[in-house]
Amino acid sequence: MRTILIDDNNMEIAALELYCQKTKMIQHRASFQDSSMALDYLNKEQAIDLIFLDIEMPDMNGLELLDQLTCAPLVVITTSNKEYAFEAFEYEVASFLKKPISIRKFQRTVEKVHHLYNQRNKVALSSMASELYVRADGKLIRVPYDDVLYFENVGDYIKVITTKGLHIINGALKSLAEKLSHPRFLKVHRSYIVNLDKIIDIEDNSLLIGKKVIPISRAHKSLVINSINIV
Amino acid sequence: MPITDIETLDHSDLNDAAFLFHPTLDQAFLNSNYGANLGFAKKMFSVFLVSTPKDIESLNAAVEANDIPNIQALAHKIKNNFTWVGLTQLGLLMKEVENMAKQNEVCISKFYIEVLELYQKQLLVIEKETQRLTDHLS
Repeated sequence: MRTILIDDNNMEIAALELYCQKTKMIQHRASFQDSSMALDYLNKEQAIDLIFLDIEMPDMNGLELLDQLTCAPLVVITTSNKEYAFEAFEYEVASFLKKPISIRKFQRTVEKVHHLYNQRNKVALSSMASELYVRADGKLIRVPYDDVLYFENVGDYIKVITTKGLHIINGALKSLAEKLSHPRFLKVHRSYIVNLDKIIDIEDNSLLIGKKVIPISRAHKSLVINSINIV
Repeated sequence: MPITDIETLDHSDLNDAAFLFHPTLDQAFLNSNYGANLGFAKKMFSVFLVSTPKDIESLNAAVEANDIPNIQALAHKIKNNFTWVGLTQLGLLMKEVENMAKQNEVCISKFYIEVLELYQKQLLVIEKETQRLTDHLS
C-alpha cells in the first residue's frame, strides 16, 4: 500500500517511518509535518492508498485536511486524544491508533487496513455489475442499478427505494456500500447511499432525488462535489 | 495477510537485553516499546534531544507572552515526546499544562516553572542515557 505519514511531531514521524520500513505491506512514499503541504501532495499525487494522519496539528487539523481531499485513500487516525474519535467516525476512517504507537499496535492496524484495501480492490474489479438481488418473501428479486434511487439506513434495516417501489433488507449501510461496487453509488451521509444518476439538484448540504431531500454530511461533501461534473 | 509478512521490531535476538535504563525512567514503557531493539531506542532518544529543547524554548516564549493557543499546542506536542523516552510523569505534567491552557487558568505560569525545573533535571538523564545507548551499541 502506497503510504504517507502526516504528523507535526517529528518523534512520531521517526517512529512510524521505522515501522513502515519494517512492514512489507507498506510502501512509504513521504512524510509531512505540515498538513497544507500534505494536502497539496495528496491532491496532486492521487495514487496514495493509505494515510496515517494526526488530528491535532497547527494551521490545518487532520479533519480539515480530510474535508479538502479530492481523493479517497484509506485513513488511519493517530491521536493521543480520544475525544476526536466520534467526529472522525463521521469520516469513515479505516482505523484509529492511540499514541504512543507501538510496533505491535501498528502491525495489528496494518493487517486490518490491508484487509480493507484488498476488499476495495475486489470491489473495483467487480464494478461492471449492473444489478443487485434483494431477498424478500422467500425470493431473490432482481433490481437493476438503474432502478435504484437511494438506500436509507433505518435501525438494523436498509430501505431500498427504487423507481418501482420499496424493498426492505437486513444489514448495515457500510457493508452494503462495500457490496454495491459501482461508482454511480455514493455514500453521502451515514444513513444514505444515493444513485448519482438520479440526483435532480444539490443545494448546500442536501440533494434532491424524486421528492426526497437527502442530507449530505460535512464529511462526505467533498466526495459528492468531486463525483459530479460541474461546468 | 499473515503476521509473518511483518518484520517485528521486538525480536529478542536483535540486541542483547542486558541494557538497563535509568531507574527514574518508565522501565515498563521502555521495555515494552523497544524490547531488545536498542537501536530504535537510541534513535528515538536522539530525535528527542534534537527536537524537544527547541519545542521547550518555544513554549517558554509562549508562556512568557501568555499566548494561550500556542501554550496549548506546544504542550500537546511536547507531552508525547516525553512519553517516547520514558518520562511518563513529565508527560502527565505537560498534559496538565495543556489542560490548564484549555481552561485558560491564571496560575499556568507558576505551574509551568515547576514543570520546567523537573524537565531540566531529566534532560541531563536523557543525555546520559543516549550516550550510554551509543556506547552500548558501538
